[in-house]
Amino acid sequence: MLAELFEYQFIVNSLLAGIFASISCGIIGTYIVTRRMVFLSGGITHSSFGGIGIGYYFGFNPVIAAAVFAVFSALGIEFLSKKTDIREDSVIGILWSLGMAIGIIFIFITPGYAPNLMTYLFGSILTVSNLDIILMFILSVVIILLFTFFYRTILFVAYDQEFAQTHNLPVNFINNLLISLVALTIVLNIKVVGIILVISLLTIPQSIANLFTNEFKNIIILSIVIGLVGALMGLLISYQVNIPSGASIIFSLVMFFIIAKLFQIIKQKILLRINE
Amino acid sequence: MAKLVELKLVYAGYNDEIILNNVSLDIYDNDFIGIIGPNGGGKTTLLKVILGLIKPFKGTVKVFHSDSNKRNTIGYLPQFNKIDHKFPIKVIDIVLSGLMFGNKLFFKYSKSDYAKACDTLKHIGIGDLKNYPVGELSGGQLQKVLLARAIVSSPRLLILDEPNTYVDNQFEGELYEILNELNKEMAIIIVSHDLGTVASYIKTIACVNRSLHYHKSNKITEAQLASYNCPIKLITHGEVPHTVLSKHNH
Repeated sequence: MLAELFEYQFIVNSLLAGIFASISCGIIGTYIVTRRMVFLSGGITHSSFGGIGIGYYFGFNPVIAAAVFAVFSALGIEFLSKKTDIREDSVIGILWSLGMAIGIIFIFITPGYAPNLMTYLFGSILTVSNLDIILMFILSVVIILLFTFFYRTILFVAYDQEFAQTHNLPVNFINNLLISLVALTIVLNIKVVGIILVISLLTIPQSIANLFTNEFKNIIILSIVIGLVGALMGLLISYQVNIPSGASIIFSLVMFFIIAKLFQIIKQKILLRINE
Repeated sequence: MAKLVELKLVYAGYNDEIILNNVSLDIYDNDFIGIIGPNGGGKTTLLKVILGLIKPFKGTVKVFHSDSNKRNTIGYLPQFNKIDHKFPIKVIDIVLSGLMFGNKLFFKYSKSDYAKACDTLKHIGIGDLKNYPVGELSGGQLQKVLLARAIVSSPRLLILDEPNTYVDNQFEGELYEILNELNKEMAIIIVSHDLGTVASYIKTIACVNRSLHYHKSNKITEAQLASYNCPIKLITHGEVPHTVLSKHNH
């Protein structure tokens, strides 16, 4: 069965998409989870829908329009919450819904029917284009390089910004760079699982990894592996049972999480008993 | 004695709200200053001005570096609750971050950096924790790690923001002994919500409540505090430490 699957280009593309999604989400998700930026990332995700709508209306590639839109929203949130006294979570809430509203308005006024709107909301790894794959590949390479060479700087700014500032580290540059990468990672992975589900690719593998290791670098590596297994399993289930791939990928990941958590609880119980 | 920091007629705060009003302070080598004052009075703001984390609205802040090596003038131990206790990072990596300076993206440690970090941990008495993830440490242990990060670069001035909160009495005693030892090599500024135990180690007291009153002794009375517009209670902590404080003649 597997051999015949590989003859189809869309299967190969979806496998590649799964691999690059695991890499970019594994690394950036670890940053998001450890910096407790999950809500911020949810805001960026949904506000990027505004970019998709604008792309539709003006006839740009919606993914590229969404990428530009998301990066500006992310930098906007950073700027507004730092330079004004509006609370950060309120800024996120506002941009979250503003982006969705802009998206809905532009899609509504675009003449004709928006055929693959659903793929942006719920994702469809089977329809990723060659351009999507190339963009995801470039993003993964950039993220790997940055996290390899600037690992310590990124880690220390993430751990304690104020201290890093007293040592004159490039705190603002790192923050802006990373928030832009968060935005790009979200947008380029929207095709895989959709706006509504993408946050789970950035948090579930990390939460599973964090059950087994307490070190930033190891969480990254484990998350990539877990994300990859989840993507492959979700694809297989989606093919076998004929359900949308985004949902089956997330479902597989959550199952992993439950199994891992149970495994951990049982292990602790056994250890306790041995100690008694 | 060499002057390390000079604050002159400083006004500072956040978002247009002035918290520090016309504050002047000189800090010299081997000073050991206890900063006290009510909550919201500007203690942390004062530290941030010295550290360069916030720019004053008015007035000047000068930090005097010993040589061209601008790096290790000030070591900083932030307030405990500002730190994420669950961040996945190892103890040794936190201490090593105290040796990273400057506006660059790429850092690599030398063997001597690593050795220095290990020595500092050993010196503080937690050498065996170096490969632990911080999530597994107790509050006192984490405080010591943060202290190690602050002093690993041998700064000339050490600034501690409430290092005695969330820790037990035993740790507090150990901490003051370490600080006493460190004070031979560096000036120390410590913010404390209660002056009780720290009083026997500090040399001078700065009362901060919007304005600053510098008291050139470690003995202070409630009447003096009141005259400094610094209405805090002198908490008594059993026999030894508090006698330094309150039995002093008025």
